[in-house]
Amino acid sequence: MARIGVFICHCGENISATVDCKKVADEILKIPGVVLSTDYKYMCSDPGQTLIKEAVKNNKLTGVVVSACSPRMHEPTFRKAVAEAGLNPFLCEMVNLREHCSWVHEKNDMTTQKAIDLVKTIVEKVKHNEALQSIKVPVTRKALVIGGGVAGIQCALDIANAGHKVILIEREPSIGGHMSQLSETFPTLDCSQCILTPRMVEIAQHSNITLYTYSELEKLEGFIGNFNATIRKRSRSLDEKICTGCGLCTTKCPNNKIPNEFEQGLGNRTAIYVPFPQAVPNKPVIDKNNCTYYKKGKCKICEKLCPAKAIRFDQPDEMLEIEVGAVVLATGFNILKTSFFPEYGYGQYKDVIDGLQFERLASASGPTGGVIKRPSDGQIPQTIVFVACAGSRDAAKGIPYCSKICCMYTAKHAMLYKHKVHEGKAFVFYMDIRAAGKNYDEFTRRAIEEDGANYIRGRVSRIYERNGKLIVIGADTLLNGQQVEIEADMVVLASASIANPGSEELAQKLHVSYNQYKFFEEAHPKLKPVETNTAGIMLAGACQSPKDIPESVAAASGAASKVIGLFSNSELTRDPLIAHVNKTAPPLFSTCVGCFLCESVCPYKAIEHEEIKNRNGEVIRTIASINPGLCQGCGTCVALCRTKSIDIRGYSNTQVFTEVVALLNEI
Amino acid sequence: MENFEPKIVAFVCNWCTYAGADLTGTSRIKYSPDVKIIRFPCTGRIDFMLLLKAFSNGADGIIVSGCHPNDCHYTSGNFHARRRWIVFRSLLDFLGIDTKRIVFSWVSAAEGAKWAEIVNTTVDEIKKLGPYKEYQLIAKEYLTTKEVINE
Amino acid sequence: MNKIIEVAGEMLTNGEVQLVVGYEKGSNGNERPAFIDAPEACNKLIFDGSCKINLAVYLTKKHIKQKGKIAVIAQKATLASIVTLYTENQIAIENIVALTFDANSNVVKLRNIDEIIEFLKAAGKSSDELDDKIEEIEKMSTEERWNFWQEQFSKCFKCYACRAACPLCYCERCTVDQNQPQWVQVPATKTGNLEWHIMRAMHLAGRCSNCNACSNACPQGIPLNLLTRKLSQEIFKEFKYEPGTAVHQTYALSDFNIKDKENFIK
Repeated sequence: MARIGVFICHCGENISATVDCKKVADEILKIPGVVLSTDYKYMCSDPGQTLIKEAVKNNKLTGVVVSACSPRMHEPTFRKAVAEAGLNPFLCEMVNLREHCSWVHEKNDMTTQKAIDLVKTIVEKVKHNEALQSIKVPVTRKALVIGGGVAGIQCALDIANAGHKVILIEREPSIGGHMSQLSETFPTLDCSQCILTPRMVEIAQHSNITLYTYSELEKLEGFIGNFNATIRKRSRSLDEKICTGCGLCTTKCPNNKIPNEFEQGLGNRTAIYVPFPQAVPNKPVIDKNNCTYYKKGKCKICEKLCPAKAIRFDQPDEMLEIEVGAVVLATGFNILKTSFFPEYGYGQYKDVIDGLQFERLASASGPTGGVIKRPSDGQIPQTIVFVACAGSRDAAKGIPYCSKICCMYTAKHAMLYKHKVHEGKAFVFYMDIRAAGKNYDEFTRRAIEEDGANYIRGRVSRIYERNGKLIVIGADTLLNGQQVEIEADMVVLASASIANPGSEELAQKLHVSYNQYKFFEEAHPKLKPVETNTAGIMLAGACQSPKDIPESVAAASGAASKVIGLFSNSELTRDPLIAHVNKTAPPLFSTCVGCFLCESVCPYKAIEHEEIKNRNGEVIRTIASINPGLCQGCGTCVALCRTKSIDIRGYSNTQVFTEVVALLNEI
Repeated sequence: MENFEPKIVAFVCNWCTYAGADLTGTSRIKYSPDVKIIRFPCTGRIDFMLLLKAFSNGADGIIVSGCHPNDCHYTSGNFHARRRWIVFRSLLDFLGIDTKRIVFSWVSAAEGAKWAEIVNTTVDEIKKLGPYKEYQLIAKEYLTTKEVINE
Repeated sequence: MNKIIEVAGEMLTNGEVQLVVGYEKGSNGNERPAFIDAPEACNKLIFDGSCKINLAVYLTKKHIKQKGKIAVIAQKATLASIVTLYTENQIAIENIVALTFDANSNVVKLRNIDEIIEFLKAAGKSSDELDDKIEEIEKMSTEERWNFWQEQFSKCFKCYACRAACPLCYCERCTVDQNQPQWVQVPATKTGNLEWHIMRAMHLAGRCSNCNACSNACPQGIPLNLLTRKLSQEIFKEFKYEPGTAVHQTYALSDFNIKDKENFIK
């Protein structure tokens, strides 16, 4: 038999000014099952909460209804009070008499009647509330970080320093990402590798971090706190434990005209190679697509010469199964290549390069030793044109967004060029100068005022070659749109940042949302920028949207904090207002007919198959079952189920049905 | 139809429209008390049979409101709800049930003013249409209060 | 049709199937389902215009499934029902052979889902006379439509023959059997009838193969097939979805398109 206690709050005058609270309390007392119905000035205050707690104990209440402000405000407050009095908190519900009643209506009988109706509805609902326990899901306190660029590195270090084990996987042979390809970074112009490589070494040496390079995620199953990841550790054709990293093989390999990816195609490498001198791990890898042995069965010089006898041509890929509690996506970004632009030469002009290629030219450890040289004839360019917004902010090219980093690195490129070639001319065609970060605007001003870069506000319509020079046709909008023609020795396109190849497949593997540009989607654009809608999977860095280094590092630390928060308890506590499939006596076992039309409706893949077996282990039927670790309680499956075999706690079929009937009928 | 105060039930989702209605309250925008809200976690939870139950228990009008497409707290609940409503509406229309009495809307947590507008417009329209006599007549044949589940 | 008798007899004799589910002559010139397990009894089988039952309804019955391998005489709508039942995990397709006729009246054996879907695709769409009747009703005013259906539903006495005849109403506990809460009023009241028929039409939306078994089974002649056909039309028009044309992982109401129509939403 129900014993409901109802408390009508005046909220000072907020409710009582328009609603006759005493009358509401009196009317509600008439409902069968209500043993106590009273009004009070401030229910959320200490004496107010004490009033509830006393009532629970003295009147042996089986349910509590607090009619006050919005439950979005104080539901946790009253549930906590009720729990302290010894009643299950989920037997306490609130009625919104303030935001939905007293504040929006005039003082009259209709308003009081509406208040009575609203309270009556929730009283009838509470009669069907169940005592629920928060769901506890065990958490494996190990994290998987996918991507070894600066974001992945920062995140892995933060989590490892907090005392948890981290597995960092990177698909290239070395960690470092694009930051390791940069020469100097804005706005300080400090050397990129100098600040990054100590971090890379820390990763390799950290006792809590296991690093797998040349590895990719094959499969991810499970749910938050309980993921099972399968990692494909691609074969380097090398026994890493024996290899000393002496590098002899890389100097002797005869197959040495392969375009070097790290140098963005501006230099060559051998088939057995270390991507760059500061690579971590500093062990080579054999490029199976180009190696003479793998293609034709001949050579094997590296194997013959290796002093440690570490080469293993028949080494297979290794599949590793690991259990983790959280995953961080830090897979970074890519940029458009010059071949994307028909009006700039379709990538056929050797001296039209992109921003990353310029970084390699400027880099002291790059293919030209830090000397800016034309890729076509090795001459030092005397005039360089930098084209900002190449591809970005252009809906016609399918990239309407801003790539964020280009204004800054274009200014940096102009400055680096002028520092190296004092008499050289640097022209920058720009649309806007977006330099919003700390010291950023001062940096771009330096390029113009101190280093003499010529900024022309306008776009470049065409670039073509004439007599070994590149003719750049653009406009100067600040001079009334006058056409500008510049004869340049080199053009650098600040091309758009785009998602990395393979992002879509990876997102689908992890059931993570992504937008039309294949950048991964955050759970909320403002309030949850480092989490995804998939519980337990976080985002860090440029894989979510174009970012510079400080922002990537901040996001990485943010994602790490989410992981560390998750790991702060050995169990994850979740709201129990989730769905469940009914079970009945044999031979039916459940009214679920196993049609699984509900499965595709769940955005969280929380609906699983449960086999009902007989004593001999034979499967009698397969029914749906809800994973309590994944279900977020939307109830879409409940409304879809024809047999009403799935129900949801807190908004059950009986509860909502009762609410509708109670709302429209007299007491 | 003087002094006809319609009974209108609003089925709303917790994350958008309920919060939007809270904002209406915080902004002190006034609207008609004829509309009473029942809270759901998501519009995807709203069973179409509940709308019929509302009519058979005397509702003259119904409002169903949730998050805008792409804004659903649970990603896709409102998309499934929308599909369900498209089919349900065409069936009700075919059967001669007055679909003008059911108002569907997307009201976000920031649209406090829109909620007030939806309520007031709906109340005006239902007042013009009058009480839902046809449905209430057939419902009276077998009193639905007997369906209230008592313990 | 002699060919059917031959083929069915053969399949029983050589043990390819243990049971043939088909049509035979019943009383008063009506049809009746036939469940034949002996080859000699196959001469009872008929297949003509009087055959209206959707035999797929028997494929989900336990005592039929227990017989082993089953051959079922299938019209186009039956085949579509079989595809839907397969998608919803209710039948073991490897134990079923569908016997149907091609355009030249030859008996065709369809042994797996792909064959059934191919056959349906090749057979193409047939026009439905119901579409005219539906258009007629749509031209009525809201009040006229209400009166029309209230009159039709007043004939209903909740025998649930429509449910029994429908192959897709295989749920062991139908929603009408629930009383916590009571979704559909049990007695044949005006509300109870309206709720039942709306509920049934919505549960079949996106699954119905328009076999008309429901309206044929109704002892009162209520045109239930108009409701299911109307929703089939609507679902095809809005979502381009047709049950029975593919093994869909989702169906119209468990799927969505970001561009679904919104013009009725404020």
